[in-house]
Amino acid sequence: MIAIDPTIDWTISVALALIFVASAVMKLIDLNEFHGAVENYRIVPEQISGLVAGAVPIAEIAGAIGLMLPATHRSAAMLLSMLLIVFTASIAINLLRGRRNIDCGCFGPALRQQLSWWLPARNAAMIAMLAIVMLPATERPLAPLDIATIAFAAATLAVLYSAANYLVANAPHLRALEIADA
Amino acid sequence: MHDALVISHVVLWIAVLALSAVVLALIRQIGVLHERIAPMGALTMDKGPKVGDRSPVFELTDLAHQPLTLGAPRDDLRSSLLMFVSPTCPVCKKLLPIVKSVVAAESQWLDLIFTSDGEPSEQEGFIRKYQLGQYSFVLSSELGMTYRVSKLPYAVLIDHEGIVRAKGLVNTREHLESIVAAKQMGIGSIQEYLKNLHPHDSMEPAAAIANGEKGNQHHG
Repeated sequence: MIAIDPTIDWTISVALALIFVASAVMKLIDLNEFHGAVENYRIVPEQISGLVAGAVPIAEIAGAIGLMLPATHRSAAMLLSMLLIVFTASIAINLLRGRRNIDCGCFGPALRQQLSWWLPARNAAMIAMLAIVMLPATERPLAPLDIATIAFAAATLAVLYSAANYLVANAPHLRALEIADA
Repeated sequence: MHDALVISHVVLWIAVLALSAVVLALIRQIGVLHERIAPMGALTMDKGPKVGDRSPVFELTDLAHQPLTLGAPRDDLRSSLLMFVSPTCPVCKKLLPIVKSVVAAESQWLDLIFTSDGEPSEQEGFIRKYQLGQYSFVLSSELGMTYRVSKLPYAVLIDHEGIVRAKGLVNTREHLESIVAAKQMGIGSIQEYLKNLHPHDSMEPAAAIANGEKGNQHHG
């Protein structure tokens, strides 16, 4: 069995925890709109879409906190992977239905991302990172420099993730400009 | 030597983090620029009816199979508020009760007409759910194309002479009231309305989205 260095384990965990907390907070800020986004996916019956819209951010926060605690580290990674698999399936189903114009709802209304195949690819990368977290870590004690590396690298990953999301959100605008110019 | 490496390492991480933040800020700004230049505005507005222009006349049939003439002068001196909505637009759902209450307050001179395109069955579910049965609801992609509607919810106010009095993207009660107030106050755009409300504020992001309207005013 492959074991990973704890610095890598913690870097990924802190970055993903930041991302999931941010995503949950944005959804909770405008839960009404996120409810609309859930309805647009047309995956769950309308009667329970409100319940699902409330449950998703709670699960995200629970997963993020669990990832930070050694006792629940691996089970939280499992929970977040499940969540991502469900999101990815919902996005893929709607892409296959040809319904690209709906809002992803990924970061609540703060970031209007239309559905595209980039989103399943992004989620697959996050699932791969969670799979690394689920591997056993070696017993090396963390030195002060490791703590610094974890803090800087996790913050960098989270910022780059956010930048990539903005790029994807901008893509339809750019396409609209190109069509108008043609 | 060891200390030097540690310091170098930490300094490099700080630089990486700072550069990432700069990239993020740049990409966000590109998004804002797109919002300002992309909407129907300068690129396509020459083809859409401008504020102050006569609206094209549409002979339509609503979902209740009632004939509806839009854009023609009306003998009863009533104006029409055309609301472009869609069942897949979360902001529309939030705005619907506001639209109903604003129009109810102006019901002595204003008719509300909802318009969308797509599957009638889908729209009928939408109408039932949000209790829009009392208003005309037409399915017409021609309307949206004529008015160059690229973002929802979008409103167009046509007065009793068939003149377009105001139009624009409406995300809030304030936006909608600016459209309805346009007829009495002679203001044709959200920007003008907001400028009168807060003369010293810089342009709000929501208003910037409808920036095409501003250009429209100056050209029209």
